[in-house]
Amino acid sequence: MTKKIVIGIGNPLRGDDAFGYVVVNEFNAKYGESENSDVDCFHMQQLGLELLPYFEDCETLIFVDASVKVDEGVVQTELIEPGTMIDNPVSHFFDPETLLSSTFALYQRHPRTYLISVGAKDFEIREGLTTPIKAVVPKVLKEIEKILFE
Amino acid sequence: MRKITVEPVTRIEGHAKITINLDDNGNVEHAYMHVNEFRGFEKFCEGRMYFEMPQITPRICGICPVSHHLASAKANDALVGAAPPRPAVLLRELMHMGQIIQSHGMHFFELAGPDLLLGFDSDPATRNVVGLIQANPELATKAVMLRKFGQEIIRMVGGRKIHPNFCVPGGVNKALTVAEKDAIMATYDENMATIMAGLDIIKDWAEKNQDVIDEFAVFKTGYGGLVTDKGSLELYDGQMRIVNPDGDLWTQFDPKDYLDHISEHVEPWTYLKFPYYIPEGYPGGSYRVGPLGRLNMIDQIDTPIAQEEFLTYRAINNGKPIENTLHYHYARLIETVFCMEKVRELCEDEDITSTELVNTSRDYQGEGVGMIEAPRGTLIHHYKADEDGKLDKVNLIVSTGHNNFAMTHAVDSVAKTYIKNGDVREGLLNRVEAAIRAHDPCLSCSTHAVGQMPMDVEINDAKGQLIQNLRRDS
Repeated sequence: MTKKIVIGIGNPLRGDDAFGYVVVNEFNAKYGESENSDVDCFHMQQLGLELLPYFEDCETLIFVDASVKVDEGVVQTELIEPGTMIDNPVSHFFDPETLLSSTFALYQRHPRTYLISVGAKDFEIREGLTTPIKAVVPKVLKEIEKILFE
Repeated sequence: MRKITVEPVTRIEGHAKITINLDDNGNVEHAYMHVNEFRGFEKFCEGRMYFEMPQITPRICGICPVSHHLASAKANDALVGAAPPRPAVLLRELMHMGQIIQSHGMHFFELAGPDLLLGFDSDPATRNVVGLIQANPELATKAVMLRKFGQEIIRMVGGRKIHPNFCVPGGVNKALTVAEKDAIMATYDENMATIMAGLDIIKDWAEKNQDVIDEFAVFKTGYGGLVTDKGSLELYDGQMRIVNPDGDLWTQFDPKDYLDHISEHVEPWTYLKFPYYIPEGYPGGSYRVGPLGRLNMIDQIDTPIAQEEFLTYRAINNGKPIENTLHYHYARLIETVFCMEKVRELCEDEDITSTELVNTSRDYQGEGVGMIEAPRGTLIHHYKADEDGKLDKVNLIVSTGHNNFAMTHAVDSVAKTYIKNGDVREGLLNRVEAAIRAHDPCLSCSTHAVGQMPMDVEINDAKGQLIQNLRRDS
């Protein structure tokens, strides 16, 4: 199993919700076939329990997502821990904390996990990031590189 | 009169609110399920090219993208007038089986499981999938691997695990290698065993909870879905059949003629419409789709293990349609057995590794209907395009839409059974939600929504005054 995983979350057809999708595409364009290809970087429209086997031996896990809880255009990086289901009652869609809880419940361990959130407001049905959100893609890529390679 | 609001409903995909109006005695006067998100994908797709739709429509929702991909592909096949060659049909069907296996498996073990296995009245903090994993890690591991099995079928057939760009008008763009086919079958037996274990669980649960099943959202509707030319269960192709509450035929028709048989009713309190069988009107012509609906309107299942289970299941009501909403869970597992048997059948077909994948001939029609049985029920994609292939009109009727009347009625029925004299215990509210969950709705598809928020229950009096506030957050 891959030791380092990056997952961009979001719907590419819902405005700035495509942020995670764009970031993983940019990362794979830069690192896809290079010496750093021990990183598995992919997009998920929403998170599900089928990811648990990938997390069993994973050491470093990074989620990238747009968020309404952060000020627009601001990048927030936080180390996250397992969370309870009360905070996320919808099981067709899991949040990262609930996935960590499930991982720990199954394997008695979980990867060191980061959530990189960018504040966004536009989630309309359309393609393409808004200008302020597009502008922070390079910053988030640097943040990912710092976590993975430094 | 008091009003109880449950918003949003837990453990379904999308955004819904339940309002329960109590009379002055604290008994339920009426309950409603509101879907509050506005559907915009149909308008968004107007002006797009038809061949973009198999990549656009899977983005409606991350839960059943393959169903949309395949329904869209079938609409395009009809629009360009190019029926796919047999190997391409087999591959699409194999991908479809993978989708249903992972979806049905996830629903039973992860969504319904907490209620069924931990109990409706168990602590909400643990009445969820994490609680299920802690209570039975071995079963949870098998459930995760079953979902992975279905996902791997999709990846092997389509070439990538997320949103495969697989179907093209008139066929598919990737062959299945012998090695990929063998990889699918390598874990077949253990995953079949997981499903059979699930069947044992639900049958055991049903036997011990017959009284609950018999009073939980039991009501009459029609039932609809696709069938083969012999009236057998069919999930990829065939004709649509709708039967009346007694199981007698109302209609059976080619998918392209669906507008002659189905219309949609609108209510002011929800964005989700109510499809119904036209000659019977609304609500008399309402019908249920999905596992319960499908097994109520077919004559038989053509795979041996599923057929045997089907006969046992139908004996519950002496061969007549089964009206108990909680038996959606039982029906769902029988369908999963069918899908597993189809996977073996398809993988043993010599055409499954053929490279004859696309029909390149064209007889442009400018209009196409693609109908498929998604895990949740009948899914319809209907496109009209101009002479250049630009879409003028898109109509999507998704599975959850067909079940709208049934879900709303189930909520009302359960609320009236379990909320009396103002007693609104936590477990009671979960039963109301369970009535919706049994249908495995995907509200993101039916309203094409995104997002979620913590659950908030408000109990208001008839004048809108807040009496009590129940929250499901920390």
